Amino acid sequence: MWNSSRSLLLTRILTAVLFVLLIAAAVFMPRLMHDYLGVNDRHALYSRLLALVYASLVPAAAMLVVLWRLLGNIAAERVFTESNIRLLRILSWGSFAVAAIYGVFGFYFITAFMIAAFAVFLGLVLRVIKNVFQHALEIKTENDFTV
Amino acid sequence: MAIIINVDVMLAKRKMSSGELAERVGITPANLSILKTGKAKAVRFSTLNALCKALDCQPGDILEYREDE
Repeated sequence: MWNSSRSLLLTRILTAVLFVLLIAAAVFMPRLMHDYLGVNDRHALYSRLLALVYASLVPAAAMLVVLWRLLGNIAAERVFTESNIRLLRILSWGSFAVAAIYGVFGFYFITAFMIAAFAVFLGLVLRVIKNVFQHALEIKTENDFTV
Repeated sequence: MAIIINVDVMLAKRKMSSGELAERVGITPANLSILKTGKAKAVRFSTLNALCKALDCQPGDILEYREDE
């Protein structure tokens, strides 16, 4: 039977899989660009594309670690806490950082602008969720201290 | 906070222990401690009713308003 703990487990597995894929991408990206995009190290795009990918991998890896910690807190039934609000804030700013990176590279590849716009949207959604958590924490505190 | 909880005073007047009051009111000793230390954000009418019944007093004997300094 499907329940919230299984759903949480699935999310944690997906996060772990994504982290492994991220590491694989970091290791095999030069080869992938060569084999699938036909871009080699003599091509003008090579260094720019590689810089874009590696620059975005850093915040992406950090965000996955933060996501893992957030899921750990939720699994431990620590949901509406200051710690989770801080983690959501980090996730939101991480999205904005990715948006900034893709925004800069948008001058070289137009599709990067679209990814930047999506990252900004994701960052905003995360900020709204953070605001909801902040308000929920206030309600929880009031409820906890109602005798 | 401007609202002062005088449960300790009433407990002393009635010569009753905190544990006994918690049991009579039906709240945990931890919650009674929250109330006594002034950390409570709100008091339910049902709790206030039970407190007044257990301590044989009026709400005004338990709650006091003092202007913030």
